[in-house]
Amino acid sequence: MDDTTYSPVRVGRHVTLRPLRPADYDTLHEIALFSDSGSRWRLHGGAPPVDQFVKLLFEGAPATFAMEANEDRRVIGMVQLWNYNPLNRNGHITAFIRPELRGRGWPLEGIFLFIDHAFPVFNLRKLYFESLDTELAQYGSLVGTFLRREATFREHQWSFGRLADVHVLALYEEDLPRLRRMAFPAARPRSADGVTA
Amino acid sequence: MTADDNGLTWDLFAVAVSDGLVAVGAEVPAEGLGPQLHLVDDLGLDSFGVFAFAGELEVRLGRPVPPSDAEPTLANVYRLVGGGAIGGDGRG
Repeated sequence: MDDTTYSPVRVGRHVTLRPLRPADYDTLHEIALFSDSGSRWRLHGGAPPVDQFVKLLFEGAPATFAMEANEDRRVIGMVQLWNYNPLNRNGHITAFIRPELRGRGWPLEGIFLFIDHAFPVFNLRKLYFESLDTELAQYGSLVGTFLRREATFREHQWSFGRLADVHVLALYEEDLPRLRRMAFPAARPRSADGVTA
Repeated sequence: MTADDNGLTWDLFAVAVSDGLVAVGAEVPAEGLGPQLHLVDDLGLDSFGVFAFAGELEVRLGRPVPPSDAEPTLANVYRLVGGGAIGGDGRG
């Protein structure tokens, strides 16, 4: 990586990761509350007004970033470090993405940019992904390849009329180089305007 | 079969798709790859699988797969990478 490695603004091929601006709050509130994205995140059906949503967003989160599409500068979602424990060098990653972009693949670059930023900046050893069984289908192929299964809490969380299993997965520091090589390969074909990774 | 200016035909694309699917651990349907197939709903990829598959496809085609909001069907991916017209037989 070059000397921009520790800049909080990270520009990928398709997505830019940057700290939140107050102007983003309404957009993120809209994405979180007017789709199922927030329920999959930390709202679980709650519908707080913008000011309470923003308070919840930053509570216990030392780093919260917007993910912006390079093509049209649209905010496509949010990713953050939550429940950070500097003594034990771990924390949780939480995120949500515009629902219409689910299954598109390319928005995940924003998540990978954040992971690449968070590990060295927060001196992380493990980054936890906590997921309901229904959400795990979104990135299940990461389990066993890059994410290690740490725990499963059976029928742990009440979610829309049923008790759902909660899976705790972790990305370990030593697995980060492999993830980087996959997410940011050195050589990729260039587009007409010369943009590459 | 119609090639675009860069020589990408559906058949060339389908070979790259097939190799890319195998590289990300997905199964290639025995009945072949049609343009209507959806990467998630039909080919069983999750979001990460789509991300990884796009990378594999770029390497095999030697051209970028631009980001798009469109449904990730093979026909849409083919258009995104600048493929020519798909033949009237429905498989290119």
